[in-house]
Amino acid sequence: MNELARIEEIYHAVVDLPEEERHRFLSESCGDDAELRCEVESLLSFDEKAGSFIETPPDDLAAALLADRPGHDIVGKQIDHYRIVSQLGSGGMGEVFLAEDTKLFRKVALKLLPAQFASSKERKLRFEREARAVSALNHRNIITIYEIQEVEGFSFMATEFVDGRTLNDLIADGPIPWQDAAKIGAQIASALDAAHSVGIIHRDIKPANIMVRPDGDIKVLDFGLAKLTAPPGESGSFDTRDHNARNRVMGTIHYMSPEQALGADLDERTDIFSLGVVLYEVLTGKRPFAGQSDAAVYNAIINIEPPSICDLKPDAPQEFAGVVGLAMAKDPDHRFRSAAELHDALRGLASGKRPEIARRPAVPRPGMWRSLPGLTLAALIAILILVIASLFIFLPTEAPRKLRPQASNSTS
Amino acid sequence: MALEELMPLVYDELRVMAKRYLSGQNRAHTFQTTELIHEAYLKLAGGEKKDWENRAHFFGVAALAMRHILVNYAVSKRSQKRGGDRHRVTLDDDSVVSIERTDEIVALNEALTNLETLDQRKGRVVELRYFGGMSIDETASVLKVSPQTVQRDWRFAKSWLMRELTC
Ligand SMILES: Nc1ncnc2c1ncn2[C@@H]1O[C@H](COP(=O)(O)OP(=O)(O)OP(=O)(O)O)[C@@H](O)[C@H]1O
Ligand SMILES: [Mg+2]
Repeated sequence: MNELARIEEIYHAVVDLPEEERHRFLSESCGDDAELRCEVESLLSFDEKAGSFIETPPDDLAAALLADRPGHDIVGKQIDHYRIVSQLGSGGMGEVFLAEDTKLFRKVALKLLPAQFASSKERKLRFEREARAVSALNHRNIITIYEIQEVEGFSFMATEFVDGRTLNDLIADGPIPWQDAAKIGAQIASALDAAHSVGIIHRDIKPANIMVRPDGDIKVLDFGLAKLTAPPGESGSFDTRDHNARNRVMGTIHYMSPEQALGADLDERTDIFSLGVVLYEVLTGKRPFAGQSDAAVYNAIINIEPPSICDLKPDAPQEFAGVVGLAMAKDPDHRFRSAAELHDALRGLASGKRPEIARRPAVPRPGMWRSLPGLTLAALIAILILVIASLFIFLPTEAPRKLRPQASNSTS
Repeated sequence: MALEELMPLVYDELRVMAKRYLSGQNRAHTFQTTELIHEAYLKLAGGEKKDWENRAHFFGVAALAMRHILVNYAVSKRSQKRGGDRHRVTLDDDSVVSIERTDEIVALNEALTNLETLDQRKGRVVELRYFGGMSIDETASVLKVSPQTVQRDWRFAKSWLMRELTC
């Protein structure tokens, strides 16, 4: 019998005995082997402490890890009538694969949809409705959706495959001439204009959601998706309080509008702001709102005017800087009134015309809006105080009236 | 089938199933490693007949695969320090995978390796129970011993490992 086996034998023999008997038994079985006795006693002292130790398998971590792996594991497999060829990328909301439609013999992009997709029927329907509505526009700058399906437990969306690169990649490659930036921007604005005209807001305009084909054509991806993953109960704004939650689903926050960062209601103009941010980055290679932490980025978006484009990109016409500045106005009321207006301005720049934005209020004075969120907050607090105060004013007069009869009963 | 051949199969299957779990309709109830392994087994065994129809063998390999995945991750996470790429979806540093949590897994794995050199079966019991999420009975059937034996092994191994980790 090896040493551990002996220790174990004694251990099990005494572990459930009451203290006294334990001692007796240990003396008997260990004799004068002090080392053995010491070893057994030391282990016994951990029996109770060990209680829940390692009793719960790390299931949550296992799930997250398994699912987070790059998806080479489903490459080569078949989902429904799609054969997965390779992984195209992965973002905050799932993974995207190049697949071959084995019925129609065409390439498609398959996007595995996030878990939130399946968690609420209502959300799912809304997403499908929006995604299909935008796709139905047949706009040349909006990706075409082929189908949205659930097969073998996977929720996925099959879309047109765009053989090109994301704007994200292009920016990383180096400076983009301002003329190209204007053309890119004009196409995005045109896609937004079409979507807005049927009441759909993108909410997540960012370079990773914009594909550029070699011929310069642009396709905007992921319409309707941002809303899908917004926290439940909210009509669509991102919940800024939930950023640390485990189910954090958003990718980057750098392209958010101030109203998004503040968790306020959104309208079409949030997309105009985000496109402004994208254009700023395309022109200068730098993000206008940066920071070491999420909080710093939010603060920059809400309160800080970015460095002037003219300084960072001297060869870009001043009008272009003006257009981007106008799109990125903190106050939605000071931005372009519509994506159509922005589209016109960008198209004008692309074709060498001077945009007619001189008549509109130029880039708003920083100080003006900066104080606005503070103001709104102050107003909210004031209202809250009023409400609470009114409770205090009304309650005491209500309450005693009800209590009085009882009080008199008990004293009499 | 040899372990080296079976491992990648099991590995892949587990990943696919986990992904499906997290992206599919099963979200209502919480993820359980053991359930995942069962499903993966049914799928692999049910399809083409393979010579590892041997269920016990499969479960053993699956638990080992889980151990690899978790420990590899914990080790890399620990060395890579905090503050990675904020733009990717995070296995959130603050919730699911705290540094303490990864430290715990790395330390447990070391202690477990020591235990295995002294008593291989006890090592397997812990691997199946903790990394494979299996019950006493499941563990017993994989190791082809009685549930009582697993129970005893488990209790002793817990005390032994805990001492190893605290002292
Ligand atoms: N239809 C498509 N054709 C070709 N490539 C695509 C297509 N859709 C997505 N991709 C590629 O897959 C990548 C990941 O897309 P995905 O939308 O999952 O991530 P993301 O845009 O970075 O984040 P988010 O989930 O917030 O949208 C894209 O950046 C792009 O490279
Ligand atoms: Mg995307």
